Amino acid sequence: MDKVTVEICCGTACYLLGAARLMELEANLPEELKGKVEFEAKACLGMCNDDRLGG
Amino acid sequence: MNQAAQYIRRELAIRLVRAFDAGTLRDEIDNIPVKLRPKNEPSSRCCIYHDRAVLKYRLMALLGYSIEDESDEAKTLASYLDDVVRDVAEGKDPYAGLEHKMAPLSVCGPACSGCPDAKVVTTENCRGCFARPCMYNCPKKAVSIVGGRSVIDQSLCIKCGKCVAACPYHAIVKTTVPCEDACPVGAIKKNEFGVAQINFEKCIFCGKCFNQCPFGAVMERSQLMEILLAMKKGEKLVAMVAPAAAKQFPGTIEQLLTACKKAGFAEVMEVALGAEKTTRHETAEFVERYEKDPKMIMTTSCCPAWVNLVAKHMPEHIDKVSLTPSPMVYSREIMKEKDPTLKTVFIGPCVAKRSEARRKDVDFVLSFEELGAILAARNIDVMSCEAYPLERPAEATARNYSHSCGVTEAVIAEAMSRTPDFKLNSKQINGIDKKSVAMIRLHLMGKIPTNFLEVMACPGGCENGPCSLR
Ligand code: SF4
Ligand code: SF4
Ligand code: FES
Repeated sequence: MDKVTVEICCGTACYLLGAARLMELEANLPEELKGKVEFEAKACLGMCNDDRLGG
Repeated sequence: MNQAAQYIRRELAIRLVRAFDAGTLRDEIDNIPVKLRPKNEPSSRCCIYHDRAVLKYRLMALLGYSIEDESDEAKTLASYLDDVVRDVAEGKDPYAGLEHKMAPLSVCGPACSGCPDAKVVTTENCRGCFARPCMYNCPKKAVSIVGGRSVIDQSLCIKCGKCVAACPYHAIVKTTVPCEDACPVGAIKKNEFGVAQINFEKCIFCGKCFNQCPFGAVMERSQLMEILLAMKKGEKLVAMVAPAAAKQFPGTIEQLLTACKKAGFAEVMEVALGAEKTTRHETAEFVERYEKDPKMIMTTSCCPAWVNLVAKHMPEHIDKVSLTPSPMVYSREIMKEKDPTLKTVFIGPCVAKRSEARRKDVDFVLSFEELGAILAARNIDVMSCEAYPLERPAEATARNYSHSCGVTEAVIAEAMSRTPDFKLNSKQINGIDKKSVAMIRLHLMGKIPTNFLEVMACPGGCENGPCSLR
């Protein structure tokens, strides 16, 4: 199976509202997912400015 | 650490800055609680109406008001906002006439759950065992076995917890009032209405209760509005960023400084430059005191919660506190020399700095959280910012002031470079709590030999300050 890449937004809004903790996922993956998922810290994905997404 | 409360505070602050920038804050502010807790959606407390009431008070504290100072319950947030805007425009202090104008913290009554008094009780896990360690370990003979189960006589119990530790079935629990438990100086207590109240005569502003309340009832009084209004007026503000900022935001401290510039600060500086001066003076002061009296004890003065502790609770030792100004105070001096018209803003993780800033003419204090809210609202991404071109980076020892032992290491290095055979016998108190307060007294009375005592109120140092982002 190909590796899945998960992009985590580390833009300021997301970082303040919990993304900082999401980066800890990598260290806490269950055995069966180890080596199959990759995490990448990203700059603002542009979603924080969308009122429909919680704004 | 109460993350739910952190996130809601941050979300409110981001919304506040966004609406301020859009010019819609006055129209929107009273609707924010409704928007965040709409009907038919889940609530965090008993119902959305309770949630909304708490949110209103959180916004009141964000506007800079003490919730305790509310005199008219019907007063809208919009009219509080009008007051701040008017006073700032007229160059007046918006909080001048209020009883709690000097208090950096405020308890949100409707958020406080009035937690039941601390109590030690036996639970169903009790097996009424033969050994009965609970009974035999109780120094007050408060435990007896009734009907095959341990029972604690509350009139005798002193809540020492010996029985809790002794039971192998974890059958005895000690419940606490988290804020009262966390407070090192007994400054927070429930009042006659069962709501926590801070006694500001005793409070050292360490911020422990702020972090420990599971209901997020203790709030900081923010200066966010005053800062936003000053920026809008075109005043030149300088962001003085504490060394503890390293690793708080994604990116480097140089990138964070650029981000501050983009956010509207006219000037930026790292407070570590002030820390360099603190190191020089602190060392010189130590040498001077030592030469006068080799038996003296000197203690650090850069943690304001610590200085408050001495001043309010052990004034007999105040002469042992070094007179050297803190890195924040030196930073202010450096910037004011450069340009006296600058308004200084200390940006850090600390509640107690708010009280020090008032005493030392630093205009404003902004927490990392509040800075983050400004950056988020203005779409400034620290990680995508360029590194700020510093004239020179601060010395490594100065940047290390944010760790416990940082000051000591800096002073030792400086002393060694002056007089290599120097006799500095240093001790550190890493975090102020009920236990360490007792230790501190022993140190200051000379019962534990030391001549240089470093005290930081926060375990690990400022990087774990009450308003740190991690
Ligand atoms: S800030 Fe510190 S000293 Fe003040 S009430 Fe809270 S825990 Fe006690
Ligand atoms: S250790 Fe640092 S953050 Fe904590 S109270 Fe003292 S100065 Fe403030
Ligand atoms: S900060 Fe994450 S989407 Fe903007």
